[in-house]
Parts: sequence; C-alpha cells; structure tokens
Amino acid sequence: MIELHDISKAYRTADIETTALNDINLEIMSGEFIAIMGPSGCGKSTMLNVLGMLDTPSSGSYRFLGEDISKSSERHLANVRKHNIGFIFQSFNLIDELSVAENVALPLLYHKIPLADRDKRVQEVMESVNIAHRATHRPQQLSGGQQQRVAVARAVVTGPKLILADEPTGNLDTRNGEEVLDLLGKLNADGTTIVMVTHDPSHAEHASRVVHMLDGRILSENVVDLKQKSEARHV
Amino acid sequence: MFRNYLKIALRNIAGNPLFSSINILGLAIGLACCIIITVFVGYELSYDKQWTNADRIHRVTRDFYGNDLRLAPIAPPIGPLLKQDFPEIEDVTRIMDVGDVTLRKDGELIQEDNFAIADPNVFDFFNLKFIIGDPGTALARPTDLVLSQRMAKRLFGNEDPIGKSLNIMGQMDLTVTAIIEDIPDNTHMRFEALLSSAAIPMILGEDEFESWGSNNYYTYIRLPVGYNAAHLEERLPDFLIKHRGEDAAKDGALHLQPLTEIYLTSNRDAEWRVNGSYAVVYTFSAVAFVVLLIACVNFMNLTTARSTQRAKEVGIRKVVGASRRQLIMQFLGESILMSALAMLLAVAIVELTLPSFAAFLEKPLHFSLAEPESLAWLLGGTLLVGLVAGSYPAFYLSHFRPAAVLKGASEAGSSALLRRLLVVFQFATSIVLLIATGVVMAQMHYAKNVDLGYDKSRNIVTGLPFFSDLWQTYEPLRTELEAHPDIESVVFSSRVPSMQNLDGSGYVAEGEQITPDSVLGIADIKVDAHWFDHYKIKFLAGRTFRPNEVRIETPSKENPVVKGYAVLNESAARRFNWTPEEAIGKVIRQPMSRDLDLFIDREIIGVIPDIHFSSLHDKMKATVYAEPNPNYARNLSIRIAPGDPTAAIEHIEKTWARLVPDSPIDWQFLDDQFEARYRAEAKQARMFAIFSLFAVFVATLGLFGLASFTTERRTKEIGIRKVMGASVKDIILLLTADFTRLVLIANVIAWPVAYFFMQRWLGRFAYQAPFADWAWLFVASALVALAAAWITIALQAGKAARSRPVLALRYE
Repeated sequence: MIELHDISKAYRTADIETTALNDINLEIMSGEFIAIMGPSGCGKSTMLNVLGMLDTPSSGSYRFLGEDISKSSERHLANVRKHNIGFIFQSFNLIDELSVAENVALPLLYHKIPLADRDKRVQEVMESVNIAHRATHRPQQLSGGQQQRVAVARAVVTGPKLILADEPTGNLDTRNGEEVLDLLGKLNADGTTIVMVTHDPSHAEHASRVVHMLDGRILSENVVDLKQKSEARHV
Repeated sequence: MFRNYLKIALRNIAGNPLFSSINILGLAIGLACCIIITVFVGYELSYDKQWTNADRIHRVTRDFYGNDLRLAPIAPPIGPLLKQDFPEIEDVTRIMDVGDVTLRKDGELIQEDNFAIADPNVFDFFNLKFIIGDPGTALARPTDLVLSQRMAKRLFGNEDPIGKSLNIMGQMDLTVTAIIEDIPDNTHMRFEALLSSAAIPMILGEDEFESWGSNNYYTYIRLPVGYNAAHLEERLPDFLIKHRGEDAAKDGALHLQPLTEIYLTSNRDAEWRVNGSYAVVYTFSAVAFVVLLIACVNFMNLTTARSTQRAKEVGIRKVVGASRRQLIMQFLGESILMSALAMLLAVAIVELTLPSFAAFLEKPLHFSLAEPESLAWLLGGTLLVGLVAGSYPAFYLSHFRPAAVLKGASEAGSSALLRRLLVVFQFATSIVLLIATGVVMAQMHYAKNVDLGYDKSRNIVTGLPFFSDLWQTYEPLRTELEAHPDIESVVFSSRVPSMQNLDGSGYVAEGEQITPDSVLGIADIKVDAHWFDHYKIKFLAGRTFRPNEVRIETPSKENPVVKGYAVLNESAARRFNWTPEEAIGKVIRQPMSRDLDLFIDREIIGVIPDIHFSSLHDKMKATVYAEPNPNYARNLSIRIAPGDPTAAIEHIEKTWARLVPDSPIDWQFLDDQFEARYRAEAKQARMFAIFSLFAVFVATLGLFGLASFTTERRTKEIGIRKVMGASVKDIILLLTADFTRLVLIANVIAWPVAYFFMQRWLGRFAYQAPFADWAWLFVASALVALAAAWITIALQAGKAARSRPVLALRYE
C-alpha cells in the first residue's frame, strides 16, 4: 500500500536546519496495523504527517497505492487524502461549534454524499463506536474518551483504506484508551490499514508491527506475534 | 454543504458575541453612513435633471472684469438678441427673481416671498405642469399672475383662485390665470408665483428691456439635440462687440452654463440661492467611504487576529477533505452573512436617523426599501462589503497547513504585520478626519468672531419699500424711531453688511481723459451721513458727509456736471494710487450716461479702512461710499440699546405700521443674517463632525476588539511575567506600548495629509483662519487618538494584569 524510499524531511529557519526525517525506508502492506514508537522529537509525528500527505518530504519518493505522489500538487494530494485516509489525533480536534453528528458527517460533506445517505452512514458509524446517544451534544459536553470515539467515527465514516492515528490514547485514561484501541483493532480486523503513533509499549502490542524511531531514523521494526514473541530486524 | 456553512457561521457569530458585535456594529455604522450619504449625494446630483430637454438648456451668464463681478443674471436685451443673431438657438426664456413682495388681498396686507417675473414661454420652456389654466395664455397680459399650488393654497385656501385679484406693491392689480404644480426643491431656481414680463415696462419703466445695466434676468437658451454649446460660446465675444462695442468684450464676457451643472458648479454673484458644490459631494462621499473602509478593516483585523481560534477548524476541514477553494467560499460566506446582518442593522439606523438628517440639511431626503433600485443597491452593497472585508481573512485562513495548525503552531507572522499596518491606516484616517473637523470648526469660529472692521451688534435691519419717495419715507421714520430711548440710531444704506454688494460704477481721477481704459469700475454703496458713526467705523483720513452733502442734484442736459462727495475705502484710494491722506480733497469723476456727457464730480471727503462687508467668502472690494440714490436698493439699520429689545422692537413695528402702511415690516437681526451667510457651511461642518466621530468610534471599536484578542493571546505571557514579579502597571505598559507606537506612526502620516487637504479647503475662503488658530489641533487629535487607544487597551490589559497568574498559566 505504502512505499517510502529514502524519505528525508528538513525544516529550515533563518540559520538552522533541523532534520526531522532522515533516509526513511518503509513499506506498509494493506491490512497491517503498525505502531510507531520513539521518544519525543524523534520524528514520529512528522512521519505520520508525511504518510498522511499533510506535509511533503524534502527528498525521497513516496508511493501510495502504486502511485508516486512525492511530486504531486497540493490539490491532487488533498484529493488522494480525501478518498483514502482518515485521521485521529491525540487532542481529538473536533470542531466545537458542531454537534457530535455534524462532526462525524463533516468528511461526507466534502465527498458530496446526499443528505439521506449521509444521515444513515453517520448513524451507523456512531452506533459502531457507541456514541449515537450523544449525537446532538457538542464536543465540550463529552468526556475525553467519548470525544476520541467521535474522532474515530469521523475518521472511518468515509470508509478509508488507511487510518493514521497520532497518539490516539495520549489524552485518555487507561479504560478509555483501551476502548479506543479495541475500536482500532476491530477496524483493522475488518481490513483497514492502521498506522498509529504511540508512547505506550502496551498500546503498541495491539499492532502487528512496531516501528521504533530515533533522531529521524527508523531504529528497528518488530513484528509482534500473538504470543508476544518478537523477532528483531536491525536496520 | 451550504447549510453546514450557514450553521457554522451562525454559531460562530453567536459563540463570539464580542467579536461579532464589534464587527456587525462597525459595519452597520459604516453602511448606515454610506446609505445616508448616498441618499444625500444622489439628491445633490439630481438637481435640474427633471426638466424636459434639461441636457439642451444652458444659462447665459456675464463677467465684468472691472468690478470683479461674475453675475448669474444678465441684462434683459441679451436673450432676445442671442435668439435673433444665432438661429440655432431654439428658444430663450428670461426669469427675474423678485423675491419678497407685499400683496394686498381684499384690503389685507400680505408679505410673500419667491415671486418672479418670467417670459410667457417659460412654461413650455421648462415643461412646468399646469393644474388649472392654459400654458399658452397664462402670462399673455401684463396683469396675469400664475401661482404654484402651495402659494395658491396659502393665499386663497380652498377658494377657487382663478380670476381672483391681488394688488402687488401698491402698484398693480394682478389676476390669477393659472395654477401650476409646485416646482421641486431640487432645482437651482426658486419661485412660487410668476408675473408676466409684459408687466416689466409698467413696473420698471419703458426702457427696462433696452437696459444693458439692469443685470437682473436669469436667461436660459435651448440648443438643438447634439449641438456643442462650445461652438456658440466661442462666438459670444463677437456678439458683445457687435452690440456693445469693442470695449464690452475687453471688460467682460458671456458664458454658457449647462442647466444640470448649475447647482453643483456655479457660485456666481447673485445666484438664485446658495448652490451646492462638487467639493461637498466628493468630501462626503470620501468620508462615507472611509468610515466603511475602517469598519471593513476592523473585520479583517479581528478575523485574522482570531485566526488561532479558527486554525484548528481549518486544519480539520482540510484533513477530512476540504479543498482550499471550499474553505475560501466558506469564509467569504461568513463575511457576507456578517455583512448582511450589519446591513439589516444599518437600514434600521437609516430609517431612524434619515428624517433628522433631512430636517437638519433642509432637504427632502428619502430612502425607501420599496424601490427595486434601493433593494438592488443594498444587496450589491452587502455582497461587496462582505467580499471586501472577507477576502483577506478568507485567503489567509484557508492557507493554513493542517499539519502545523493541528499541532497548535502559529502561522500568524505575516498577518500580524498587516494588522499593524491596518491599525496605522485606521488611526491615520481617523486623525485626518479629526483634524479636518477641527479646522472646519476653527474657520467657522473665525468667520463669526473675526473683526469685521465695524460693529454689527444690536442691529435690526429691514428693507424700505421701493415704490415710495425715499426721503419722505425715510426721514420721518428715522426721527420717530430715534425718539425712543431704546433706539440708539437709525441709518440708511443701499446694502447692509452681510449682503453681497453687486452695485458698482465707473470713475476716473479728475483731470484724466475719460476713455474706456481710464474708467475704473469700482463697487459703490449708498449711505447717509450717520452710517459710518452708526457702524463705528473709524476714518483713516477726513470725515463723513455733512447733511447737505447727501442730497445732491441729478446731472441733466442743462446742468451736465454736478458736484458730489464720496468716502473711499483704502483699497479704492489705492486704485487711484493715493494714500488715505493724499486722497482727501481730490475729485473723482463719475460718468452718468452712456454717451459720457453727464457727470458727477465727487470730492473725496474721507477714507475708511477696508471692511468685511459681506461674508468671508468674498474679498474686500474697493468701494466708493456715496449719497443715497433712489434707484438703488433701500435698507435701514436700527441699533437698539443693550438689554431687552422687546420695547424697541414693539416701537419699531408700531411706528412702521403707522408711517409705512402699504408695506408690512420684515425685520431681522443683523447677527442672524450673518449666521445665514454661513448656514450651509455650518451645517456641513456639523455633518462632517458627526461622520468623523463615527469614523473614530468605529476605529476605536476595532482597536478594542484587537486589544482584547491580543490580551487573550498573551494571557500566558502575562501570567509568567507576573510570577516573575511584574506589577499591574508593568503589564499595562507592556500591552499599550505596541499600540502606542502604532498610533504615533499614524499621527506622523496623518499630519501632512491633513495639512495639505485643509490648506486646500481653506483656499475657498477669501479670509482664512490663520494656522496659529488651528495648529494645536494636530497635537490635540494626536492626544485624542492616543487617549482612545490607551483607554481601550488599558481596560483590557488591566483586567488581564489583575487576574491571578495561576489562572493564566492553567489556561493552556
């Protein structure tokens, strides 16, 4: 599904250049659940932004579903993103002025889905994440766990092939965190590819592969087997 | 999608009451100013457009270089001669403004205004609409009288006026032959009753129609379709030469004025009434535009300042698939919605205030939502303001990169600089308007309080009836009035101060050959012996008239040169190259006939300083003061004793009624007449002040909003600073310093701009308030702007500075 070759990303200010990603090579297959781990500032989020086409790499090539999109226009990227990728953020990023149902429906608006279909789909997704009873509430009226479930619903409402989750449990307590991870697990079981950034090794265990990063490089990739045994492949 | 945008927009408006109310109120004030001024400007531009063939009608005017006169009315022979000499002229009509008349109806004396004498073709010429009567014959006979509906109603109530008789000025019995519709207010003309020009020989003498000296007839010509008036105008000097000889073209010129341009461009001597000007139209249009622009800038500033609050939304929308175009449309939609709400409020403000404005400006200004044209304008205005105000924020907000803004990073760099520039712009324009208002006020004050060169206080002025023997009316009046203890003195003059003096004669210094070149055209005023004393005018040299010197003979064939006397003002003495002292005892010769065979030789007995006789608009003219002449206008000045004027006025009215029974008194305080000369300007000045204050208010409103957001944004910084030991004062200084700098920069920009514009504005006055009178305004408006900024910001900053730092730090 995703092939990254020699991807680098540098940020320039007036006189300092900071390398956030350094020669990243990574392949992600359809249906994988990948956790990206590493200390703060190691480039996890930049990686996720590049994967999600929210940011463009400084060099290297990025193939998404077989298409090289590293030189694509902003408009084309937005289009690819719209049809294939859902996002979940640590801080939920719900629009405070919209109700739960309206937040969930937002991506469908930009997909120009007819109103009746939209309502039906929103209802289904809200039920699937168990938030339908809060449909008319505003985000501020919900708990953190509930807000993140809304964010998950919004991410999956268009049926994306890939979900990018940036520390989706970071702002949640253990119980709510587990609930969200279960949701992601269920989505993955249904065939959605998931890439999740996390700090918590126990959360990473939900993934099928863990990518460790340090200083903008991939340190190691561990394939997690069901018996918690891992085989290290040093890069 | 649209519903979603609308929902978000409405919730944004409701969820941010401070931001929304500042924007909506600001835009509403700006729009209301624009609507009111558009209505006013539209009205000013509508003058005289209603007449049939208005685009083909021109008024003929005449300049006299010698007397420095630029007259709107001209002599009666010119119109018919033009028609005779230039066959392309389709028609000519003449109207003489008579103004006040005394009518006698069934023995009752009535004073009426707005009488005019017109050629019988006037109805056809201007397409005046008849209610009763026949346009073809309405003014056929000398005794015919046509009344406007309003005048007919006033004079005859519900009676049928047709065939009714009125005596005018005790001279003629007139018969009402027709009633016309009231002429609209938006014309430079002013008449409610028309007499036939056929009556002129009976009223003003058989030779009036031949007189080239009687410049009293507004003369209009109609040209063929597509005819270029300039072709005719360039042949007018030859026309003058043909009929008046070579010198006439040297001493003056005839001009053509397009009818529809008269109101806004003509400021000639003896205009029908005070005209408007393009300067006023442009000034107010500019002010309205500026107020609206300041409101739009508020919107831009506040929206971009709030961008951090909207950034997350932009990021999310982009992440879930919104294109930049869609976001731009969304934000433009929001600003158009805001503009629409502001427009609703603006219309309400206009509905409430326009009647007061109309009353204040004395113009029938109307604004109706029922007219499709108004609705179209409002709709267009709403869209335009929404787009202008919303464009920058829309482009700015929609460019946010989701990866950055969802992490909470600020993308505000470029907009912060622009916001500063916009604040500088707002304050600079506000300061310019403040200074301009101040200068206008200073000039008004100067005009009212300048030393005119004479004492105009406690004067009552009134006209003496024209159709009576001057001395037989005047002398007994004066004697009886002065007998009252509350009346100090009564004097006669052809014109009283505050009036434009349009009278003049030719003079040559004694001993010089009389040629057209040597004759100096100089203004003259006819006064009696006490006039200078009465107005407390000091002599630079010589003395006033002795009683015998104001009753002189009239030159005749038998006695072609008579002796007379004259007092000059300083400028007149200078015209003859004399100092005041040198002038005394000199003789100037005044030709009294066209053939240059009758003269008055005037001995100069005194010289007075130049005085501001009319308003400060007019330059002080060289003037010859000479004895009363029965053929000139007749006015009395009555100075009353200090204190309650009631007894004096009562005595004046009673004495008048007894001694001048055929003509009711129409008196005025001289001070009021002076006020009236500045009336239009005083009103415009006040209107200007009001709109300037709106501009400052809207700018301050914007600053308030901006300050509140800045403070909010810096809450954490304030908290940290307080933890580090900053006092409330330190915090307020910190927050005000930035804006103070901006306001100071705005001053530096505004001052030269204001100086430049106000120097040009003052150029309209012959006598201008000196710079020293208004230099302080620059400092004052800087202080006002700073005070407005400081108070606004300190209110916000103080609140933030006094809050407990822990709250601020917990904020994030």
